[in-house]
Amino acid sequence: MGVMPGAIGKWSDWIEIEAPDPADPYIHWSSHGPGEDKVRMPGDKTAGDGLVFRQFATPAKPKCPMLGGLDEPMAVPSQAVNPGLKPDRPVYHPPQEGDLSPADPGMETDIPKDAIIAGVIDVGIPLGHTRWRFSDGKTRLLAAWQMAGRWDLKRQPKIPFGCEFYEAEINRLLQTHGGGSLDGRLDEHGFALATGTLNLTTELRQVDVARRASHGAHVMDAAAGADPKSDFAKRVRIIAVNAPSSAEFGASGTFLDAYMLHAIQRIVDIADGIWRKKRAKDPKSVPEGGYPIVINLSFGKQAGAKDEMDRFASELARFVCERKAVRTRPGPHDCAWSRVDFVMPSGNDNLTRCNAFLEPSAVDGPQELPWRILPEDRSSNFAEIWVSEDWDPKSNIRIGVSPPGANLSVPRPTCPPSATCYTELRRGDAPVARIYVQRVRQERFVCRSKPVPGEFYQKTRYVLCVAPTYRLDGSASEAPAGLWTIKATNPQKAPKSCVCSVQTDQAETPSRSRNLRSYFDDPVYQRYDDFGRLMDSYSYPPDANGAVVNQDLLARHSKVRRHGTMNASAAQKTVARVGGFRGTDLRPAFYSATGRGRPNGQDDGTTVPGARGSRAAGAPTASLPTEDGYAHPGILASGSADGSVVAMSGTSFASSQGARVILNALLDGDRMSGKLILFRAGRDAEKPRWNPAKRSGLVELLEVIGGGRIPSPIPRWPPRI
Amino acid sequence: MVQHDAIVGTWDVGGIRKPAPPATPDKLQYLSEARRQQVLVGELSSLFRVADGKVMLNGSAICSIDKTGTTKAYLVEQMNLVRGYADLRADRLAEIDRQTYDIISFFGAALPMNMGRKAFTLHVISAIHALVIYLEMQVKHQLWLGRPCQWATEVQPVIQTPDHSSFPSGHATEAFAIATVLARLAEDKGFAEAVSDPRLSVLFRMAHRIAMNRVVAGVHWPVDSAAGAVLGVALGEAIAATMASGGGKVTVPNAAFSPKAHFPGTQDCSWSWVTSELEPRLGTQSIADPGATPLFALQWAEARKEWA
Repeated sequence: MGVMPGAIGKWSDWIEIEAPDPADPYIHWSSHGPGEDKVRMPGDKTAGDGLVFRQFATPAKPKCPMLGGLDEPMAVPSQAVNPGLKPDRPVYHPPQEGDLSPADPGMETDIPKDAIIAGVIDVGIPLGHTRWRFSDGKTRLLAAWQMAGRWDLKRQPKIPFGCEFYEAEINRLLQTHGGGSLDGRLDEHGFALATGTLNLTTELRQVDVARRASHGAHVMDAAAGADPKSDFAKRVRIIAVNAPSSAEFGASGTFLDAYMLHAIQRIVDIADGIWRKKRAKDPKSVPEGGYPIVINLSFGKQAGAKDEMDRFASELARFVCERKAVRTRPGPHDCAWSRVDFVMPSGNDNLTRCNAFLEPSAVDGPQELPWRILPEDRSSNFAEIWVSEDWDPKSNIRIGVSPPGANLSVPRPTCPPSATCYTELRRGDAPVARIYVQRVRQERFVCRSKPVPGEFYQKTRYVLCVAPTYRLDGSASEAPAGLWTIKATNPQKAPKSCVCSVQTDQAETPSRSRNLRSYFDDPVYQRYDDFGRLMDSYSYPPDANGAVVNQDLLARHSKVRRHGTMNASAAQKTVARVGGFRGTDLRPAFYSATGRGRPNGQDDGTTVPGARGSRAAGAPTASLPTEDGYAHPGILASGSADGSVVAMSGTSFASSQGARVILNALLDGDRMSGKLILFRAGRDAEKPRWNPAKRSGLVELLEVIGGGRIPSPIPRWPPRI
Repeated sequence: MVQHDAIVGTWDVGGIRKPAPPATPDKLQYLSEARRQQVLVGELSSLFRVADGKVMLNGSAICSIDKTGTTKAYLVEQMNLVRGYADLRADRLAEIDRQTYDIISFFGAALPMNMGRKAFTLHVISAIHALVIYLEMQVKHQLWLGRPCQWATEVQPVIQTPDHSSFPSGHATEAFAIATVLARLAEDKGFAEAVSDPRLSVLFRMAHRIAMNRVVAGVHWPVDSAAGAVLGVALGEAIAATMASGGGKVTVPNAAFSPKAHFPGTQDCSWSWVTSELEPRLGTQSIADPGATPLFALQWAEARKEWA
């Protein structure tokens, strides 16, 4: 029998998380809290096809710059885990040299000196498409790591999970399943099974490449697909990482950062390993410092710091800076220092009511924000609140959270500054919600020739976690659905800004296409205009004077804002952030996130930005078309089957095109950073549309389109009329 | 020349012949499905009577529903839940639309049923479905409560609002009765046992989803679903017990549901409510003679064989 629904109690006293328990609130909630709804069929064993938690050990001090965070615990599908690893022992990221060292015969490739590496991290990347092969039928892929693929397909002792195939092995499989040339018909199903991109048999299956369209096929094509005879195909080589689905990394991205950091590190290690190996044989055959790398990550999360305080952001920034510094490192070393550019989507959450700003003060009183949790939702719901403040308990903002129909107070946090603490709400003995609090103190990162000390700044981070409202797994931790209330109280007269965001909430089971996501249900927020059209960040089309109106500014009483909906993983200075627009009339895509204009995210989300707005980390760098058809939504690129073309919508497909713009510029000898390449390309595309006399209104659009709207770089045949 | 004259010739009225009777008349296989169902429902309905929200089996109340406590303040609290469920409409519109006229097919997803292999099962649950509608409509009439959209125009149901009472939910009553009967036919397990059985609980999850889809659609309150679930399980168990007894003394439910006593205004008809709170509402009692339904009993026995 199931849970006895009883009355909800009070918030508990604060509990400090102590080592070795994970301090990350999401991972702690997942591993030491109610977590997600987990379903096992009768007879399933723990070691079956479910997820196993893996604690990763800190790698031995690396010789070359390496991303941190590779020691974070992860939930890895058991069928993907290297069974040679002892269950009770930590596992390590693959060694930087290892199988790619000069002495290792594992991989041989014929790569030109002026090659550029395209790194593609996505879900459902097929490996045999003609557009990532040469005209002789050989693959352009240098390697492909299927992170959730069956480990026993390859049995690499040094790979902790999944299976990785190198160029020669992919070519052998292309030969086995299709004769190896472009003339024959590739048995795509068999090839996909053999490479681990398709898994139809285990509970956590990977089926994207067996469908008509897959995210990864489209992204890969837009970023790096090409006519096999083209110069682009000859010089742009690819390292792919097939990431697991949200069923593994968590509906709200619990383990997403860890997976992404492993993927990025592996792409860089493989590119550098090939460079080292070739350099050992013939130093003149390789470029100085390594091959340039452009990595596209069409992923993200909504809630977070949205600046350098984000752990993923700070890791990327430190890594890029340390890699640059290798160039001037004294003494002999074997480390590459070539450029690594990152491209990410600005996100699709513009109108999802997931972003709000509270400004409580002792004068105006506390402020409340209604948070609607949907019924029959099998995944947990999360919201984050970030407050810039010191840690004086007397002056701190206090955050309260109440379930539907209740008005509960939360005890004043008594957490030591360096700890993560939580308070818990229970129904009977079952926890149904938690509030985690962390004091985040971070050095403002400054990269000159190497990382230099900067000033410290600090924020308080609250992570609100609510258990699923529907359970199949019999757990008693079932939260009530309905209108929860977030309340912020400020004891000081001066208002303080609290940035609130609802975390991304994707499918919690494999291959599910829909999800139930909570949102801030502010009654004053206007979703539609008087004509029934969606209210976007700005009024479109521009009026007779070329002006548009900031519609967030019009709704001044609403706490919910479109400004500030940027992908939290991308809202940082290290990566190029790409938004989407409609190719037919240049109107920004309604879902494409709106950034925040001022540097450091200090505005309340409604300030009209200046002309440099898009250079701020919280706004897009530029935009590319994500809608470009009269008869279908989306933009065209490869489907799952070789030769097929599908239309897909979303800023992921702007990001992939952005990566291609950067690759094209690098092929042409451009030496600017990827961000600047995109920003400049946007500005160049926008200039003919500007009307300085009218000040044309486009300055405001920078919050949505960044530097400007760049035409699609995907080669189109026949050309559009 | 008309057809008769052309092919019959002179009609000698003395030459009539006795037709062969149906080979197995009690199994009703000579009747079309619609006629067979009319016979079965007619026979079955002779056992039941409804008065003041009470459903009686041969004179003994097996389920008593009242609507005390459904005040305006109570329905404001219930409306909060209706508002929340409205967010699921885009997800469920296809199911909701189909379920306006078809419930039984959805149970085919839980347990495979088709006319080739489970004909008697389908006849049994079709007859019970029809019977339950007759009974629930009387209960609804006696306990009339307005639909959510009659209390607030903002509800905007996504399907036509039915003309009859909101309380108790007919879809919930029918779906839970069908789930209960199928659990009895398939494995002879009662509600309490079946709802925690990994295989059979799917039947009740399906019933719960069908019931709550009506809340999502905007035509019911969660309390309607809860009352309907109690009534549906009670009816299903009473019929199964009657069939199993073969006549004579039988243990049947003595169910009771009252919003005031059993379902606060803030309570959702969640799956956990179904698994923990429904069974205590059922009760039991012993009655001496539920009455005889020989034709339906034969169908039931044949249906049981289909799951053996």
